[in-house]
Order: sequence, then C-alpha cells, then structure tokens
Amino acid sequence: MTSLTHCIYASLSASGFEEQELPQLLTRARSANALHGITGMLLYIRGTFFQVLEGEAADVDAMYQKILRDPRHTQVRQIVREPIAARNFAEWTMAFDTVDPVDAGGMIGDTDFFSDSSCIERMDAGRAKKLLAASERAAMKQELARHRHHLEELVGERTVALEKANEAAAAAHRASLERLDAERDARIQAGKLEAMGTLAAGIGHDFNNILASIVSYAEMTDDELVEGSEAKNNLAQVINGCFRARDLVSRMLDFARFRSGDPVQVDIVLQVREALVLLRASLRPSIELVFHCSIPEATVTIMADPTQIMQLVMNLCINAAHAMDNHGVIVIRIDLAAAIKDAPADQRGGICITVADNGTGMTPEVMQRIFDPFFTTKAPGEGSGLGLSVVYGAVKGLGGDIKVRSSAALGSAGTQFQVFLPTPRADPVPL
Amino acid sequence: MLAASQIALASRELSMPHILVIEDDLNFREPLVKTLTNDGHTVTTAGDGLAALSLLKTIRPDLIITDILMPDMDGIETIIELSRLGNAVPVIAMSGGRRSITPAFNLDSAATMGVKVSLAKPFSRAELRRAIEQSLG
Repeated sequence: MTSLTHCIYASLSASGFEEQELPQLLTRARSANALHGITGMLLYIRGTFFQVLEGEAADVDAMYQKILRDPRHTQVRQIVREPIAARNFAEWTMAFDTVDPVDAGGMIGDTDFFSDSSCIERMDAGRAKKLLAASERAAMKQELARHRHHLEELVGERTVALEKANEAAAAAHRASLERLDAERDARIQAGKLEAMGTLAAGIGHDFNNILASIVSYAEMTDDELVEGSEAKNNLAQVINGCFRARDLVSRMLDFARFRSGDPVQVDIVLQVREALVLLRASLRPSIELVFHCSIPEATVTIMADPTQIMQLVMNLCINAAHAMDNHGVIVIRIDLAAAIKDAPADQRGGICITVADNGTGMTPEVMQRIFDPFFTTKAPGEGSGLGLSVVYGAVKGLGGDIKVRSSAALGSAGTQFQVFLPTPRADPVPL
Repeated sequence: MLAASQIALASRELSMPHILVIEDDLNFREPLVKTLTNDGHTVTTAGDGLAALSLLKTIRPDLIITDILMPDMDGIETIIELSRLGNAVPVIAMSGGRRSITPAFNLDSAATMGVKVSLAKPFSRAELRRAIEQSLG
C-alpha cells in the first residue's frame, strides 16, 4: 500500500458522461489494468471517472504513457499526474476501509463502491474536492479554449458582417440624407412659388385698380398742360410707368395661373420650333441659335398649354442670351429622356428639352437661387426675376423636372438647362 | 310733323351717349367718370350690380361700363341678370383680375356672356374711347 506514491487521475469523462455507461467503462478499465499489470483504484466522483494508480513515480509514469497510447482508452479525456502525500494516501485508504477494508487493488471494478456516493463523501473531502476541481478546471480550460477559439471565429465573422452592414447603413443614410435635402429644397421652392402666387393674386386686382386711377388722373392732367412742356413730358413718363407696372402684374398673374392652365395635346417639336422663330426675331443677331432634334416632328405629344411651352423655351433662351451678354451660341435640343444620361428615373418615359449656352456659367450661390421668384443678376429694371421661376412653376405643374448645370459640372464654359416633360403615352403617336 | 318718338330718337342720336358706370372702387370710379364727362358723356354711377339693376328701372342708358369684381353682385352676375331681363344695352366689361385669375380670364368670362368689348385695367383714355366707339358703332 505504501508503494502508492503517485496518482494518475484519468478523467474519463469531465462532461457528458452517462451514469449507465459506468459498468461498461469499469469493465474496460479493469481489462486495461490487467493488460498493463496496473494495480490501483477506480474512482467515480460526481460524474467524473478517475483511475488512481499505485506505484513508484517512474512506474506510474510508464503506466500512464501506456494508458495514453492504448486505443481502447478513447474515453480518456485528460490525464493529470501528481505525487500523493503519504498522509493523503492514508486518508484515502481509510476512506476506502470504511466501506470495505480491502486493498486498493481489490477496489478496482467495484461497482457498488463507485455507485455509492455517500461513501465518496466520506472520503477526505478536501482531497476529493481537489481531485474534482483539478479535473474540472482542466476540462473547463480545454472547453474554454475551444469556446474562445470558436468565439474568436464568431467575433471575426460577426465583425466582417457588422462592418458590411455598417457600410450599407452609412450608404443608405447618405442616400436618404441626400433625398431629404432634395425634398426639402423642392418644398422650399414650392413654398416660394406658392407665396409668389398668393402675393400676385392678393395684390394683382387692387394694384391694377390703383394703376387705373393713376392713369386716368394723369391723362386728365395731361390735357391741361402745354404741348412740349417739361411737365407734359414728365407726366408721359408717369403714364408709361403705370403700363410697365401693369405688365409686371400681368406676368405675376400669368405665373400664378400657370399651374391651373387647361392642357391639350401639344406637338412638342412644332411648339419649340415656333418659339425659336419668335426668338430669332427678338434676339440680337450676335446670338446664334442652333437647334438639334432627335425626334421626328409630329411624333411626340405632351399634355400642356401650348403657350406655356413656348414661354418656357423663350424664357430659357432669353435667360441664356442675357447670360452671354448677347454674344454667343445657344444650343436647343429635343431628345427622348431615355437617351439622356442622368435623366431622373421617374422622367425616363418622357422627353427632354435642353437649352445650353456658352457663356460664363453661374456661381453655386446664383445656381441655388436661380428659380427664386424676383431673383435676378441683372441691373434693377432690366429683369423682373420671374422668367426662370415661371419656367420652374410650369415644368413642375406639368409633372416634369428641371436640371441645371454650370461650367464646373459640365466640364465646359456655360450653363445647361434640361427640362424633362412627361409624355402621355410611351409610344410616339402621330397627331 | 315728326312723331314724339322720332323726335326723342333724333335727340338721342345727336346728343352724346348716356353711360351707366358700375364700379365699386371710388378711387377709380371718380377719374373714370370725369374722363367720360370731359368727353361729353352723361354719366350715371352705381357701386355694384344690385344698385345698377335698381337704377335701370328708371333710366335708359346707351351703354353700360361695368367692373367685374365687386361686392354684393359682381359684374358677371350683373351681366347675366341683365341678359335675363332682356337687356339690349351694350356692355363694356373692365377688370383688374383677381386671385390667380388674370384680367383676361375675367374678360373672357364676360365675353361668353355676350359682352363684346372689354378693357383690362389699367387702360388709357385712348383705349376707353375706342371701346366706347366699338360698342356703340
């Protein structure tokens, strides 16, 4: 007995060990021990199966190596080897003795002993605990290492997935911010136009009445003045001014009316051509008008007020002429929107009228306010600042869209307006 | 010997026409009346359609010049009522527009009611004279 100086705890199953497997394991352990000439004890403590071997350190070590190499010991999860203090051994023996005073070798394969947990509890509690703790700790360590590795893998996979999701979310966020910006701009623009319409409607009538009385009084006063006198000339300016004011009110009312005009089928090419004829007559000869049309005449119609289309084209061209200080080339194009790069997705079914000049272009500040009512870069009295806001109102009223690009975005000097207008049918229809 | 009615007709042809002006805006009605009076017309005024219809029970103008946008009974209603009463007196409609409606729209509406001549405010005296000539000629 005193020869039991070393101990091997072969933890056969740190976890997942089934109680009913015990007899089979014992049989296997017994035959293994017999095979290797091992004398020792088999212990079963709270779900863990230990083999305690007896012998000198070198012998125990050899036995333990044998067990490790024996293919029949597939159940052996781990093996801990440590010297047994004489005191502990005595305590153990004592513990065993209380059950059945036999030698350690006789204990092997004693199922009654192993299944009697109360007997184990009567063993040295500290030692049993230590045995168990060591085994469990080792098992846990292994399990932990396995988990850690698995966790690292999981964390790695999850990190990649999260990074991807994060990128996608950031892109979606950017897109939605851009969309919100565009929506906000559109709302602000619509608000400005609405305010403009309300203003025009509110003051239009009263203003015209006031002008009417000024004109009447001025003309009556005029009767009493001497022909050719300065007073008569001055008064002529007053009357002239009143009619200019009437024209302005009329434009504002036209503008406010724009969204409620009765649309009819308009041959877009014909209408643009007519506008160009009028433009040719009103623009300086130093302005060259170039017209390209990739759509045959009388094949594409849109639903609009024909004068609205003419005014739209004329306003854009007049604006271009002013932007070039009345010297340069204005290119007017009509294409199917589907043929235009960067056409808004919801406008691809319609047509696009492009008006481009080769002037100096616009600053971003000007571009931002280009469609604002009363915004003008012209000297006071030279422009009403309504031309492009009328265009904007008309295009939006027709369910279309308008894009403006200047030098930087175009890659060449000048400004380009693209007016997208929806066509009622996808197929070109003869008029 | 001329019959009394023939004498009356002759005097009307010789004299300047009698014009009924229907206009609620005093600031404009006053210079308009002055202009017409200076041109030799006899002018009667009414502040809106209701007043005009009641006046028409007692007077027989040669021409009616009416504003379109007025309180109580506006120009369009007045014109409709006049035609319902079998009015044969020519009407000139004037308008400065309202709300999102241009003067042209109001005057177009008047035209569909049988008004042949119209004036968009403000108008010059020359335009007024032309309109009167057109209406009576």
